[in-house]
Amino acid sequence: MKKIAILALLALSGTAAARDSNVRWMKFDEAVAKSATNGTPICVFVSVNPNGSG
Amino acid sequence: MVKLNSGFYMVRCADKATSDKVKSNAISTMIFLDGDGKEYYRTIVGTTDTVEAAFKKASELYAKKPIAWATGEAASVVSGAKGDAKKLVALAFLDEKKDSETLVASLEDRWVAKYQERLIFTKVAYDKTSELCKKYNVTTAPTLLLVNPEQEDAKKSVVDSLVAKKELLSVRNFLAKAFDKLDKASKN
Repeated sequence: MKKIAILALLALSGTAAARDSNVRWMKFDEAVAKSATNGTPICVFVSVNPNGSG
Repeated sequence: MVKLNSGFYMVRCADKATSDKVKSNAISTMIFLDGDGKEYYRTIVGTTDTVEAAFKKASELYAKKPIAWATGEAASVVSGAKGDAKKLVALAFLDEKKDSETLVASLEDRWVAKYQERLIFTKVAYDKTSELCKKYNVTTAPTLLLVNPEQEDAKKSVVDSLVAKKELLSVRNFLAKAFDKLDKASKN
């Protein structure tokens, strides 16, 4: 399952390596605050799930 | 890959605090929230195709929606709307100017589209000398009035009004406040 998450993370980032990604990852609270000013949707990707399996 | 993620604020959840906030229960999940921070779509992904499909679905579910304007005279629309306590009539006093166009665009925006099902929209050509403008005390365009159709008295029927403001944030805050007030009142 972790392997799948890594593959998905790469796909999300749209580049060969997530660390070189052109995605700007934000903190959740920062994203919520910015979204509340302009309605831009938020996409949360669960790469590690501290509350359950994985 | 087309940059499907470009229209979203991206958050990587790998810590307990974020996980608790989004109630994550599985790794490799994509969770989508609207501008009010409310979740509207969640799916598990694993490949580029499923990630792309998730972005497409999320964009479809949170999309701009054209207004379905009611036809007929405003007075008959208001009287015909009686019977549904959760709905309000939105009387939009508009002219041909840019500000009126902007107000309509804001009302159709994806952020506020969810309120459309609770509103019956009526477009009124703004004319300050008209009986309707006098009846509702409208003196400028654009003006958006939220009218409770259950209330007979015209002035008392106005739940709230948005005057000369057309920006998306103003419209969103206006509608959110009005329906919050209406829902609280209906619970009491």
